[in-house]
Amino acid sequence: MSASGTMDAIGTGLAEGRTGSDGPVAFTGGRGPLFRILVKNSVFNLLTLGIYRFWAKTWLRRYLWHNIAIRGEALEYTGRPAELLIGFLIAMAVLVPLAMVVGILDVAFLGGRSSEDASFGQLIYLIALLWLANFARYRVRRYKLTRTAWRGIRGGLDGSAVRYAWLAFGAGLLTVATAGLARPWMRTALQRYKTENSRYGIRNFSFAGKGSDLFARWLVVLVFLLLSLILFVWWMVAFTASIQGELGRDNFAAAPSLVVPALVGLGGLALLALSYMWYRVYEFRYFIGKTRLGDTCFDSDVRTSTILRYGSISGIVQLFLIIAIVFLASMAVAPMLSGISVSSEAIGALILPFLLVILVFTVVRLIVHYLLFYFPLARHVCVTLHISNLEAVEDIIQSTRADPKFGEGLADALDIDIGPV
Amino acid sequence: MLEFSAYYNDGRTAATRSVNVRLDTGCLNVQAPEGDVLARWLFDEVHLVDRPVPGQPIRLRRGDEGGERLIVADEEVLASLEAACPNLRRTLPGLGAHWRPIAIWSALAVASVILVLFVAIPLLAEQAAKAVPAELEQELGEAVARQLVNTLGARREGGADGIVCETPAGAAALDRLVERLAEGTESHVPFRVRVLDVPVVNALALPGGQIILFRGLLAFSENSEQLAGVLAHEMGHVIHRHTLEAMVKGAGIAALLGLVVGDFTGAAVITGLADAVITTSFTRDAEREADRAALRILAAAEIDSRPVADFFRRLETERVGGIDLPSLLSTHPPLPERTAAARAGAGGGSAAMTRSDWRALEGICG
Repeated sequence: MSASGTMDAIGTGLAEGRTGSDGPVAFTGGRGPLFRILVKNSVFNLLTLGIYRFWAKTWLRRYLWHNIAIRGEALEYTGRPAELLIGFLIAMAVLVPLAMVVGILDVAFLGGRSSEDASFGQLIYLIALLWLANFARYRVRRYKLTRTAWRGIRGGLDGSAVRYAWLAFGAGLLTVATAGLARPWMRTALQRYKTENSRYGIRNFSFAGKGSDLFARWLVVLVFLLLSLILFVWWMVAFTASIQGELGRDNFAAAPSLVVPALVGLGGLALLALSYMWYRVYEFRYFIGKTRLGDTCFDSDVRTSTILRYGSISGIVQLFLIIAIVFLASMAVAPMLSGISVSSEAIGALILPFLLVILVFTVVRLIVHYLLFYFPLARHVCVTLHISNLEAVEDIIQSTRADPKFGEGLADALDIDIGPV
Repeated sequence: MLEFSAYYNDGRTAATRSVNVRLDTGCLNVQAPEGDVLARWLFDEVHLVDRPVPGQPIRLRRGDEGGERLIVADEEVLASLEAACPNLRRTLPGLGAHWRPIAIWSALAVASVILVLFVAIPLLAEQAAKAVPAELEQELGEAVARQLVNTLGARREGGADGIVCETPAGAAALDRLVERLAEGTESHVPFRVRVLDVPVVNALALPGGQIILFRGLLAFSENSEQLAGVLAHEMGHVIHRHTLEAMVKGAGIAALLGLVVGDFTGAAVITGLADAVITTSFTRDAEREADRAALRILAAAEIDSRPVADFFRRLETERVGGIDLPSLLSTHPPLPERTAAARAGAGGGSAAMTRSDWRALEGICG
């Protein structure tokens, strides 16, 4: 769409308040600019041993935000790399002594504890980490929302990260206690907290979702989970039985009797993964549909089949990549191993190229996944998003609340996964 | 082009309106179609929101804070704007007032890392290693030794245990040597020495008194005094709990690096490399300490320590059949230093083992 075309869209949108049959949200990005950004990010990240990552994240987010246009008017990302950098430095100054103490205590009691004590300690450690992860995620959300603007008006997130972390903790306990049945209620409760605390300007979003609406679909996933577990147990039993009967013999002799249960088990896992994806897409559509901003309503038409298509394409290409790398690597290594000398020098000489290959592979794989999956996914989500009554936002006023100055330090330091951007 | 049409957000409400913009002296004049002036943007404070993309309208923002925006379609306008506005191309707000907190927190973070890496971790590791009760350490050492035997002996026929050399005469000779050396120590744990059938010239001290000697070392030693020297060195590691301390330090350093390097693709590889480099640099002091302990033990057992100097010399100058000797050398103090120290140790003293015992030990791997 040309510049004048976009301006026309803005004008028409203003004049008529039309939404049209295709959603008013367009994704104007191209794969070329994205590719350049990703390559630049990867190269500089490695060269600066990771210090560039704050700039990398900023450029990537700017690309995404600035290419999402609602009725021709694009979003804006107002975050600065310096804010992420400071957030990280603060987290470092605070976390480093803490983590060191934890690490040392961990090893000092390593060998002697009885296995029950050790597993209990690890459980506590895991739970603490999960709590911290949710805490950090909420703060990341706050940073992103306050650095997002549309028509010059910024977003915001109220509420408390501590409360959210405890909410997630309680919900998690409940889910485990009910063997997973309570999960739709857990997801809804968390979504409600996040959504109703999110705002555009001074107007908060509202959320009308209920866990019971999701339960039927979730039950399907649980059924597949149970099926997969049963198949897995069957396969394990067959495997151990054949091992006991074939002690000392070459493994491959036992293979035929294992192939059928293994294939069935894999099939069960695939069905489980598909059903989970199907549930998540439905949940996404449901959550969007139950979200409102004052009188403005939202709707989403995202299709599981489309996501599946993008995922398969990306997955297949990555698989080819792995096979190619393994093939090339084994060709390069074979001549070295043909000699009998097992000198540590030879092994040392092998390690560096090996690491290099792994590095290159990880970067290439990431770029492929972004270009073949996240990019078309972003476009799809935008195009299938419908907003009605957009004019109602026009009387929203900019919030004068002070935004958090720095961002995301905890999530960055703890390597918490906050998604592709 | 001195005048153009645009869309305008006033940064106070979420409304977009059609406006006319005129380039006045020193500022952009934003006017509603009816003529009333909505805003005046000084040229200094006009910035592009992002680099102009052909085919997309140009967005301008006013200043670094605030939400006033102008959306312009005409790309020709860009030329006039560039001539008039000096700061137009500053798409990303600069550091501005941020440089102060960055400088402060950078200094704090760097100081924090340095302090922890070079002071706190070694100190606490030493204390933590001492605080571990002897029984716990022994259990840990047993577990590690078992793991090592299983790993190295994985492809053996008859199971992994086949890699442990245990001919009765050799084992008895070894026990006698160990007992003789142990008398000169005040070890908090009993020594348990094993010989593994691996053609590497090396020896390991694991936690809890576990010592591993490799067959290659036996073959490389010319006499029992040299072997006794290496054994005493490993005993020095055991007495000072170096291995346990190293494990604790390693865990601390790994955790620290994980935090610093943060989250990006390839981080795991970089972290692993850095971790390895930093950890080995810590062990020189430990090696010196073990060397001193070895000389003391040899002296207490009245064993001639001078052959040990020959051993070090040979380590440096000879290469045994293409097998490198990195592990004994790389993290150790420079060889001239070790050789001199060994020579300066007690001269005189007897042989470490009887000739028959030494022959039995040489044949311990059958």
